[in-house]
Amino acid sequence: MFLTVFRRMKLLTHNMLTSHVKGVTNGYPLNIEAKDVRVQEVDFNPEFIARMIPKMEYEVLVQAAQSVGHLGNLPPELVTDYENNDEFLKEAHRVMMMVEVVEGSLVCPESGRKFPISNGIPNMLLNEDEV
Amino acid sequence: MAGLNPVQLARFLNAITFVKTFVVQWTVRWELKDCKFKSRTGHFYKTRYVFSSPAHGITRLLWCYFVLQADHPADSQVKKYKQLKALHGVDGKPCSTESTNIVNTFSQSLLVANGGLGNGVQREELQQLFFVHGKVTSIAMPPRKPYAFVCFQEIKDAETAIALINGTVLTRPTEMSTENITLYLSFLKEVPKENLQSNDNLPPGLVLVKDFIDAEMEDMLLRNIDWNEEMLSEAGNVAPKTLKHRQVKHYGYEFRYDNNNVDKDKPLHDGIPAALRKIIDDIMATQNIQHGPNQITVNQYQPGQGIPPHIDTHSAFEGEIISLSLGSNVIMDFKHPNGQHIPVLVPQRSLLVMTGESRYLWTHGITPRKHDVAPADTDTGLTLTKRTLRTSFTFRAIRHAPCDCDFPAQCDSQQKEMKEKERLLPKSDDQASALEAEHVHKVYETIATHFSDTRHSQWPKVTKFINQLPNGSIFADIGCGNGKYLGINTSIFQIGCDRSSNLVEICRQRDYEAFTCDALSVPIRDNSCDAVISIAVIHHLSTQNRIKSKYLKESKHEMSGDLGENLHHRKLTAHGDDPVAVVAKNSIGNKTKEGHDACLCKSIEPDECCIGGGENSSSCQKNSKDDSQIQNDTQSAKDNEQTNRARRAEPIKDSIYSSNTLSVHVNRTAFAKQDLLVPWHLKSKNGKRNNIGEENASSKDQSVAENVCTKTVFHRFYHVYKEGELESLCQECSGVRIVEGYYDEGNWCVIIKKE
Repeated sequence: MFLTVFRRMKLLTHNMLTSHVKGVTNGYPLNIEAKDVRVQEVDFNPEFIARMIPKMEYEVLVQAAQSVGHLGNLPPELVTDYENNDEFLKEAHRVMMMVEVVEGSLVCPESGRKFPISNGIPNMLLNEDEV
Repeated sequence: MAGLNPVQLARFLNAITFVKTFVVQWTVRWELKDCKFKSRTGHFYKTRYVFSSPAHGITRLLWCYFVLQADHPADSQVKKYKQLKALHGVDGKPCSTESTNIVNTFSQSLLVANGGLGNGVQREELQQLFFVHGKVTSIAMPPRKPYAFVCFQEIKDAETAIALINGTVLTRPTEMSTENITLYLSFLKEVPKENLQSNDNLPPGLVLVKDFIDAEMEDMLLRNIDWNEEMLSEAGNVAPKTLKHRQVKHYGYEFRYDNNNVDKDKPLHDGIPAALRKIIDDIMATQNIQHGPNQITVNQYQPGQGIPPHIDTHSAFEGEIISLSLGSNVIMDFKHPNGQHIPVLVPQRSLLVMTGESRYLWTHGITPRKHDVAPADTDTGLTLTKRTLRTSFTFRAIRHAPCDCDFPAQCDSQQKEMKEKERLLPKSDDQASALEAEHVHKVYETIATHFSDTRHSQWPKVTKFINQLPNGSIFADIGCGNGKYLGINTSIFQIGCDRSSNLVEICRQRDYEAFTCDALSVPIRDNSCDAVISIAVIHHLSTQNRIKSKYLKESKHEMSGDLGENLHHRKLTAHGDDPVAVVAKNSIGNKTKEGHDACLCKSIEPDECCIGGGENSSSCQKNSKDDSQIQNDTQSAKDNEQTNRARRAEPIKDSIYSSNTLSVHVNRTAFAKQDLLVPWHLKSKNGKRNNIGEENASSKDQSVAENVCTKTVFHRFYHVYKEGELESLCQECSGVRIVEGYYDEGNWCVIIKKE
């Protein structure tokens, strides 16, 4: 039987998402309440990861990995010269690209508003009174 | 006997009495080995209530004794199970009232499970069974239910009956190919009232005049119908039609089953025959009628034929629908939208006048079947009667003004009016979001799959833009639809978002990273994207005000959330994109200043052209051919612009006839206005309409459903951009610079860059 494993919310995506609920001044980073987390193999592209790292909020990435229990050996501080540190890049690749949240919620740090993640898709839609 | 309290003692004695009776009866039966037995009154029972042996009889006797006397758990469970099973009978619905009403104490009322009209048991059969055991005060047989209620005057007669009749098998002739019926009896606290619907209870506004004409007149009318005669109308020949379920003929005006209305300016040539004009005079003489009927439909129903529940089209006819029934009694079912159901016996030669609520709100129909449940002649109960050939004359008056009844939900005139109102251009933000919710969000959510199937071709310039992004870029598509731009460049991180969760689901199934959000509030943090596109989105935003204010407001909001001086470095994404619909834009993150910061804005139009057609998805490319047309369109759009602006500034009048209504675009024609509803023809396999029409919904469903109703049309709001309009919008947004504006594939595009 042919099985397709669909993509779910990666921690890299989480790193980009913020809460825009009305009245919230700092909706970033969103807390993750994960019910189902999976790790899915993705091809490792060191150059891609190295370029991605400076665009990430590294601290947030570490926190997120921790909160879903997949921190592994990712160092809490960004190492210097990470471009050439293959071991670090692999860890970063694992956390950013392979750890995926299937079910759970993203929680606005300020308002506590929960954005459900269902079937790997975060639903960031706001109600009328929230915009 | 010690230890029995008086009540128990009484029950015990009672039981002894009945046992004696039982033994006697059993002995009699045993002597008649042919399964029939003679009752005390000398009648022969046609039942096969026979014991295979004396032991069998004794077992049954003990069973009856224990169930009645001691409420033995195991036995009562069996009994209850069988009763409940029987109650589920024909229509499959549990009858909670009846089952909870069952008691294990003695009473005069009996429930006869399996002994109802619903499973083909006739009143006479029950009479034969029960009358011999004592004075029966009533036998109630609810329509279509597989059970009946029998009330005795004396409790002891009920006891005797339950002991003797419970388990009786009613034989059915083999040619009926139905199984024999086993009756199960139990005591009831009381007979539920609602099961005894009488004809006195009519829907409000319904008037039934019995014996409106005499048999002679009936005969004459029936003889005068010439089913083969061709009626001539202004439009040509109109032959009497045999619809799927009956034969029809029209006088005065032809009723059209395709739209459930009449052509009011095309009366039939021959007018109304004299005999029927005489009837109309008689009808008017009843003084129930305000509008003189000028349209007559004759329907002929064979036994077993019927008509689906419907309300006669409000806009077609005045407030009185009059039906004269000839040839047969029939039960007409009236149903209220809240589910209330009143079966009305329409006797032969009666006149039924529907006015008010019964005409405008209740549906009426005739269930196709050969027998009806009807009041028995002898008492107030119900029984089965056989239908014969029935001919009905429906008299109606053509309505010339829109209907203004009190039931807007059922009223096509008022629905139409409301729809037109809905299509007013929005004047407030609330109205704008309501319009977008109805004519953008909802539509895409519904048509997602079909829409996605038609969205493959990419706009070459957008593809080029994406392909030139450097390795490791972060790229977002706001309003990504089915994600057709998300798989282009594999060396960048691509993420999409859309308002429609069904479209996002399609992206996920294509293995793209995507989430659900509104383009007016994109939850991506500032300065996170290297490039952003937003294609074919802005044209779905219904007011300029909305675009600008949201755009600007959003920008400011972003600013406050960010460091002031960094303002220009912030990712544009969130705001920039939102509004820019047909736009592909990208912005640079502050840290990577070199990036491509362009926002590609396209304003759209013609994309829709091809979109609209649904099936011509493949012809997306054809857009280019529309170039000239678009130019024209642009011209005309320009012409419109002035009035348009003026219009937007002015408060919008509420009149539905005002020019502020949104018109519906005709696919593959030039755009008539800038603000339009563009139809999407959703193809679906079961596109059946749930329709309320006149007497012929069924046939119409048949023919029309196949031709027309396989497609459902949805309307999407579009604002068609003209040359320069998109650019000027972008210029009003501070902090961005327009890199390029161009026209591609029938769409206006702008590439903007954060400064």
